[in-house]
Amino acid sequence: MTELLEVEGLCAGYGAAPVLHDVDLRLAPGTITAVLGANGAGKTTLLRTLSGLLRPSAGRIDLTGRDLIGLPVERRVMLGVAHVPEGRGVIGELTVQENLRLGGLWRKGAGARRETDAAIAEVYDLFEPLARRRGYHGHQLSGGERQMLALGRALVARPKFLLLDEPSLGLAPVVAASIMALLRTLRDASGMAVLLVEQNVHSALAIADEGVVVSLGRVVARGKAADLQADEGLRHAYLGF
Amino acid sequence: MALLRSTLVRHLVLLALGALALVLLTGSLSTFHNYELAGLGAYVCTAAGLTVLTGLNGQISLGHAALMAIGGYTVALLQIRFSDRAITGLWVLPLSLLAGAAVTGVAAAVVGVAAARLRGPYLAGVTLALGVALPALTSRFTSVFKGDQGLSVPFDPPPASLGANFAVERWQAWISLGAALIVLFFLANLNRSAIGRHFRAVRDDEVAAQLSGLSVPRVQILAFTVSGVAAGLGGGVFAVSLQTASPGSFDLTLSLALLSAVVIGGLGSLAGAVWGSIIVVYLGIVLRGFVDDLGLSAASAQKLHDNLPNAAFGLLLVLVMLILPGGIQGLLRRLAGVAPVDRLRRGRPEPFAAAIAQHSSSPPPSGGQQ
Repeated sequence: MTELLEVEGLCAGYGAAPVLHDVDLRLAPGTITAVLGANGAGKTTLLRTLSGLLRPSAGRIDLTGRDLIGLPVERRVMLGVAHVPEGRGVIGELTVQENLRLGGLWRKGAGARRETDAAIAEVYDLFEPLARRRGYHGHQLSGGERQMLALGRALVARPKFLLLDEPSLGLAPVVAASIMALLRTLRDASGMAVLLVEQNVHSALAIADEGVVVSLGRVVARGKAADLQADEGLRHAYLGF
Repeated sequence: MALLRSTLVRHLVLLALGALALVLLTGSLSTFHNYELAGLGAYVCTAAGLTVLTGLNGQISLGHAALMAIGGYTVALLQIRFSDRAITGLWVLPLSLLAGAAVTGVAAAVVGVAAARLRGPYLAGVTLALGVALPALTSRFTSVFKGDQGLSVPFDPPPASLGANFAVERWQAWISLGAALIVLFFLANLNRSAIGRHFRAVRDDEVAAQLSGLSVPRVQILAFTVSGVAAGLGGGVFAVSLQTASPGSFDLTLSLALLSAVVIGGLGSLAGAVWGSIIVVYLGIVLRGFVDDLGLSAASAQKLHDNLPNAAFGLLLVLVMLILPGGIQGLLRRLAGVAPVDRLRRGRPEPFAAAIAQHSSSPPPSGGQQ
């Protein structure tokens, strides 16, 4: 299958402290890849580097053949990269509707508004609680609603490549499960590639097609999600169960 | 009523009502009070721009008086040129004011490029340095700016159509408050536009704004430019109301008074900028009158004139932060029982009925824990 995203030899860090070392990654369209590992393994740093929030010190990031290295975040958004960060990044002083509209900012020219309106309507159909609270400000929403809003804003961009950082963090189990289930539906419906960082290894591997295990900034294992879950040695060594 | 729901139409109606109030108010006041109103208009222009920059976009500026100085001196230089060439007409002063605003906007964009790289105390420091250094430049180029003495600002008398007895001070108040109304109209529409949303998004969460596709530096430079244009116009009408542009008129005290005005009025609120300007301008006048009544020596009275208003603004600022974090406008909203969110919520349509077939098979997540 033609890869949507190809990452080779990616190194990144914060100042003089390197975090990622020589990371290789390949994502096919219409797949969910779970990034697993202990706290401090470099999972969030990997996502931040791919979306452009962090500048890599070495390596190559190709999205459908286009080199992303050196491109600012907003250019990557235009090329189809959407990142839902840990902590969600909802704009508290904007309404739900205004937050969602931000997701369509990258569209320019005739028909941009119509396309964004259609994408927002889809998001309201997916997340019915958001539709009921479209006039509420971001800071008035519950944790689950904020997660829906952050995810919804990313979906309004109709991305090719979605990066999700801890989508279930702080959510009630039933809400977290619903969001995880929704990711599969989105993958099947849109054909986008999803890179999922999730502390809950069981639920991540349950919905993922592939998995990569990161330890101390290096990819130490990769494979089918079912195979990773079945690998007892790997589970004990890196995943803690 | 449907027409009034349009933001632009509503703001146009408010602009027309404001203009009517201006005509009626200035007609009922003495020349001295009209002169005070002219000064107030300059404060409102600049404070409105500052509240957009600081309140809506999250960038602090301790040097807005310097931006006013750019506008004031540009207007003075142009008006002198027009006067020297005996060029007169109703369009002359508006042209100078527009040029002053434009030149200041360009200067503010340059400052904005530096400001976009700075945060918090570093940004405060740079703008403070601007506020101190820029007026001092007038002493360096005395042949152009005439040093501490400053430049006079000649302008045409009121049009003959307003009557032979139409006071110059009333004309100055019209110019100044008219400019303030235009600035408020422009900024109110901007705040409700996509650009206003971008300003707030960057203020609230730069990372989220970036990930939405916004160029954070570009938005911050735009905010500085918009604020600079307002400050330039404010500086221009300030120079017209004083009939002079001198470094002493645009000193650091003015910058701090402007910042006090936007905080006291309610940071991020245009109405708050108006309330804050009224407080700062008239508190200054009241305190000066109080000092004059004390019967002190000229030197002592001058010292108090220079410092008492600053001390009062500082004290008021602390009190507002402790008691009224939302400023006067926040208090008024509380008293009216209308939170801004409630206003936004009203009249919103119900959720779309149509479902997307390919997604409808997925069970919609319920709301999270509150």
